[in-house]
Amino acid sequence: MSPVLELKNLQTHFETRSGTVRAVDGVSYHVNQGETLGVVGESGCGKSVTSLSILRLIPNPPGKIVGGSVLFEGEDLTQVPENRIRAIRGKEISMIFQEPMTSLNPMMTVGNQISEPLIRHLGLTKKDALDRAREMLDLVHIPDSKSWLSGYPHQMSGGMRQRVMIAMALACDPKVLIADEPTTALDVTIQGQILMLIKELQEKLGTAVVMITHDLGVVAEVADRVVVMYAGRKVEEADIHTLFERPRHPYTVGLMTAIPRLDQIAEADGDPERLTEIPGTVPLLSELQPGCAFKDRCAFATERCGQQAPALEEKSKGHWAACWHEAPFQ
Amino acid sequence: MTVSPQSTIPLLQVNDLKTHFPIRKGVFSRIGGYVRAVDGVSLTINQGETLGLVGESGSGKSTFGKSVMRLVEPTAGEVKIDGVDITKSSRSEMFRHRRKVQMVFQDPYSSLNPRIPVGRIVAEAIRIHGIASGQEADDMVIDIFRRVGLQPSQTRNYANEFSGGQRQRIGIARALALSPKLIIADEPVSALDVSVQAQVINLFSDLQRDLGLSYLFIAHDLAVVAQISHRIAVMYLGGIVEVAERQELFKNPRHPYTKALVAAIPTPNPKIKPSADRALKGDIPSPSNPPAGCRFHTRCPLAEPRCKQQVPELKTSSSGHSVACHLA
Repeated sequence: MSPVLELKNLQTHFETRSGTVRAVDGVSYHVNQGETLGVVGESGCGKSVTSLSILRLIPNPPGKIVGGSVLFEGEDLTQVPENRIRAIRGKEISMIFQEPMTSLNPMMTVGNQISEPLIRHLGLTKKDALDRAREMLDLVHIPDSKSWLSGYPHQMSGGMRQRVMIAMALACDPKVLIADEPTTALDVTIQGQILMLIKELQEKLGTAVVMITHDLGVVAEVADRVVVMYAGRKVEEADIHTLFERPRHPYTVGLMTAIPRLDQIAEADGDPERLTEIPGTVPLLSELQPGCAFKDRCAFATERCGQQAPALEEKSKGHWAACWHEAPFQ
Repeated sequence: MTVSPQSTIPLLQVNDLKTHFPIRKGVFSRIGGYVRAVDGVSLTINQGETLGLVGESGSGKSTFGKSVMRLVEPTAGEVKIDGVDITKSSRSEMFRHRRKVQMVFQDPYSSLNPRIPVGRIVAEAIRIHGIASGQEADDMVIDIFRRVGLQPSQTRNYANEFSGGQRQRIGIARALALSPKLIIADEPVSALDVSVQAQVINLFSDLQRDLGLSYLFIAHDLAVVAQISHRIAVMYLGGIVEVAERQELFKNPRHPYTKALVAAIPTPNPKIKPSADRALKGDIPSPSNPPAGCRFHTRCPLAEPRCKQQVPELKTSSSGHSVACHLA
C-alpha cells in the first residue's frame, strides 16, 4: 500500500537572535490510508512544528521549511503554489488542535463555522452546508444538534468544543487528519469519549490519522505505528506492539519507566515502586551540542555518543532506532 | 506507610467544610445564587500520611486545598490542625498556623516572583516568620536547596533561569522553609514534561521519608495520585464520593464515578484495549446548579429513581472504605 502522506527528510528551521534553531531536523515518516500513526515526544521535540510544516502553517519569518519534502498522494506540498495548498488545507488534510477555544471563532455560530469549509471547498449552498453541518454534529454525538447550529463556542463545554473541531475537520471527508494533542486540555472522562470518537469516525470514513501526543497511554490506545521524537529528530519508529515490547532507544525506555503505571500499582500488594527518573531536562534546541542529543541524560552514553550523532538504523523489519548501543536498556 | 495510633488526634481534620462563592447579578450586584465549589467535605490526614485528592476540573479540589489554608474563606465547617479549628482564628493566630501548613502550586512559572533571586524568595518566608535572620537564614536556605536537589550557587539566580522542573523544586523549597507538618500540593507535576515529572514525584516521596511530612496531594491524574498516596479521596462536584486506602480503592472501587475514572485512563500497554462502555456520558454539571439527589446521577450508568431525590451519605465500612452511593 502506498502511503497517503509521506515526509522525507523534512527540515524546518527558525531564525532567532541566538542563531538558527533546527526545530525539525530531518524527519521522515509516513501514514497509510485508515492507519493511525502516533507521534510521541515532549515539549520542544518538534512534533507540532512538523505537523504545522505539512500544511505550511509555519509563520515565515522566522520559520522556514529549508529542506526535504512532504508528499501527499505523490504531490510535494512544500513546492505547490499557495492556492493549491489552500485547496488542500481542510479538504484533503485537516487538523485539530489542543485548545478548542482558541481554534474556534468566538464571533461565529457553530453552524457557520462548520459550513465554511463546505461552502469553500465543496461549493455547497449555505442551506445544504448547514444541513451537512447538522449531520456532522450528529456524527460527533452532540445532542440537540439543530439548536446548536445557532449556538456559539463559549456556550459549550471543552469536550463539546473539541467535538465541533472534529466535526469541522472531518466535514469535507479529508484523507488525512492531523490531531495535535487533541485531548490534553480535556478531563480524563471526556478524553475517553474523544479518543473513541476519533477511532469510530476513522473506521467509518477510512481517514489516515496522525495523532501527536506526549501521553504514551493515548498512543497505546489509538496508534498502529509510533514515531518517537526528541530534539527535532525521530529517534525511534516501530509498530505499536514492537515499540512497547522491545523499545530500542534509551529515551523511549526512559519515557515508559518514568510514568506512574496505574495498572501495575493496582495489581501490586505493597507500595508502588520508585519511578525511574530521566535526569536533567529537555535540551534547548538553540544550545544543542554535537553528538547524540540525548547523551547528557542517557545512562548508556559513551564517548562515541558525544562525538557523532547516531543515524537511524533499521534494527529489525520496520523497527528503526537512532542509537549506537544495543537494547535492552532496562 | 505510617498510621497514627487511634489515641492521637489527626494532623488535619476537616469537618463538613463548605466554600460557596456568591454569583452577583445586575447593577446592584445582588447575590443571584452560589457556586457550591466545596459543599460539605470531611477528611482527615494523619502524621506522615499522603492523602490524594483526585477529581476533574470543576470538582472543587483546588478550592478545597485553598480553603484548608484559608487562602479562600470557607463558608462553614471546621478545619482543625493539631486539634485547633483555624476557621475561627484571628490574623495573628492564622500567621502561626501557616507555619504548619504550606502550599505548592501548579504553575511554577507564575508562582515565583521573577524580580528577586530565588534564594531570597525562600529566605523571605524564614525571615518573616522570625525563624532566623542574616547568615543563619542564608545557611538554612542553602540546606533546603540541597535537600530539593538544587545547587547552593543557584540561590543567586532568578526564576527565569530555571527549567520547569527546577522551578517546581524551588516552589517546594519555599514550602519547606518553615518546616511545615503538612504540604498541600495542588497539581504540582501537571505542568511538567513526562521525563521531569518522575523527578518531582520522587522528590516528594524522599522528603516525606526524611522529614515525616504529610501531604494533601491534589491532582487530576489518577496514576500520579496512586503513585504517591496512601489513601485516596475522589471528589465530584463539590463532594467526596469515595475514600479508601490506595490498594483497596483500585482493587475494590465501589462508586460508579471512581470506576469510570479508573476505566477512562488509557493504559500504556497496547495489549490492553479499553472497554467500549468505559466513557462516561456527558459533562460535569455546573456547581452553581448541581443536580438534586446524588450529584452524579446525570452521568451514572446505574442511576435509579431514588438517586434523583435522595442525597447519598458518605458511609464508612469497618475496613475504613467510605463511599457515597445508594447502590454501593
